Amino acid sequence: MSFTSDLKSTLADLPEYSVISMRVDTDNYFPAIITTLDTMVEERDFGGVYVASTRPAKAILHRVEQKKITAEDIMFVDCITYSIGGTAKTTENISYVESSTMLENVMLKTTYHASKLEMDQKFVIFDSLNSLAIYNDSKILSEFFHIIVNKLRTKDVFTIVLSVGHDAPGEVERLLDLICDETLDLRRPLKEEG
Amino acid sequence: MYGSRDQLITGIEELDNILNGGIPQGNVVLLTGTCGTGKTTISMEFLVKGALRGENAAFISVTEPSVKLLENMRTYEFFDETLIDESKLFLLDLSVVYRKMGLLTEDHSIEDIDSLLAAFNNVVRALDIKRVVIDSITAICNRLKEKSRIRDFIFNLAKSLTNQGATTILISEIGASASDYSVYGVEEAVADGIILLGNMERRGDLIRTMQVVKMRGTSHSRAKYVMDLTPDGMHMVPLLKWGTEGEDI
Ligand SMILES: Nc1ncnc2c1ncn2[C@@H]1O[C@H](COP(=O)(O)OP(=O)(O)OP(=O)(O)O)[C@@H](O)[C@H]1O
Ligand SMILES: [Mg+2]
Repeated sequence: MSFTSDLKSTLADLPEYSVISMRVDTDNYFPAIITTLDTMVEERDFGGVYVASTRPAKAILHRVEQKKITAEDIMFVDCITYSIGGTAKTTENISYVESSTMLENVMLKTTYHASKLEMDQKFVIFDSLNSLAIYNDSKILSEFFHIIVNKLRTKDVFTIVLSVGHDAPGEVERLLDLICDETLDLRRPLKEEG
Repeated sequence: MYGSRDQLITGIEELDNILNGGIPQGNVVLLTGTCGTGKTTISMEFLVKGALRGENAAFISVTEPSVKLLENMRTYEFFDETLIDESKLFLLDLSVVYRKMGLLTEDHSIEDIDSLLAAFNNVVRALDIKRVVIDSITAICNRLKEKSRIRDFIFNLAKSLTNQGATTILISEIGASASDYSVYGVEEAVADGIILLGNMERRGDLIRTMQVVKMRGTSHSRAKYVMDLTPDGMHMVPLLKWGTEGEDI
């Protein structure tokens, strides 16, 4: 089976309020997010909040529209556009946090928009642990995920924390193993050196 | 029951949680902060939430004409203008009250203070007001000049509003370098509660903060919270412990 069909069937079978730590190889980054959004929005009829800190929300939104995924069902919290000096005027689909170091504001915007979603079933995806780790150390990131993941859990929100490749901070990933219901490690095994 | 006095649910969810239920009824709370920290917005949300619960609410504008206030508040979704038409929310200009009283000078005499207190009382009684905001108490104090007069005024104001069952927010405007919660020091001594709004600089980010410094009549969190002003009002989360090494400015 291919990566996308694998991921699709796994996501389709997960219980309604799962909290998962998803790990994918770098070359599967786009297939992973597009397949996840497609499955959650189109097949499972969830509405979601997409926390974009890897690439600007506009870029993700563009791909979403290309794939004919219902963009109206997704609210983006963009943590990067301000930092790169882009225009950051709140739109129907995108709300901006000034910097990905303002983790409390990421929390506030995420929970706010999750509560505003009209669908009964909601998901939140953090894209990604890697990009948040560029500007935040492991201690504050662990604290951030510990609080936000548990907060979303009490609100019955399906939560996905994405990490890409093998360089996401191990300390935070170990915490995620502990607080998530499931770790979906979809990476190919690392080749032994020598 | 062992515990706290009757509490007024502010309707601002996170604030009610921080206060373990709300502001004890009849309290006079000083909402203090430097400019642009959200004092006016939050106190308006407090009034709107009250009016929606059937508690009549009055905003007494001292520094800014209420027309202008109205314009700013219209940008928020939580602001429900129909409450004004239904006579549940009142926006009152103190300058109008001054003019009616024939108070045209910048300084208030003792007699002026008495008539001002009487005017506040009348408004609260006549309109059956349960929530009062005065924006700002600092501007009134500036006209009273002397500390003893300020003390008398705030003390008597607090007493009469409390006696009428109203819960009050007095907005205090402080300078960025202030070490106190109020300009004259008297305001904070008389108040039953102090809520401090501020800005914290952390690694180049400017973060809005909120802290309940004191609140007579209830136990409460004294932690610093990060605040966001959204179209549907204020929201807060605790400041992350590993991110507390910022500087208050
Ligand atoms: N519609 C809005 N949505 C979110 N935030 C807003 C909106 N309008 C204004 N703001 C923010 O709220 C801040 C002002 O809040 P507010 O007027 O309540 O503060 P304040 O403490 O009363 O200020 P002042 O000392 O000038 O009276 C502005 O500086 C702006 O950053
Ligand atoms: Mg103001």
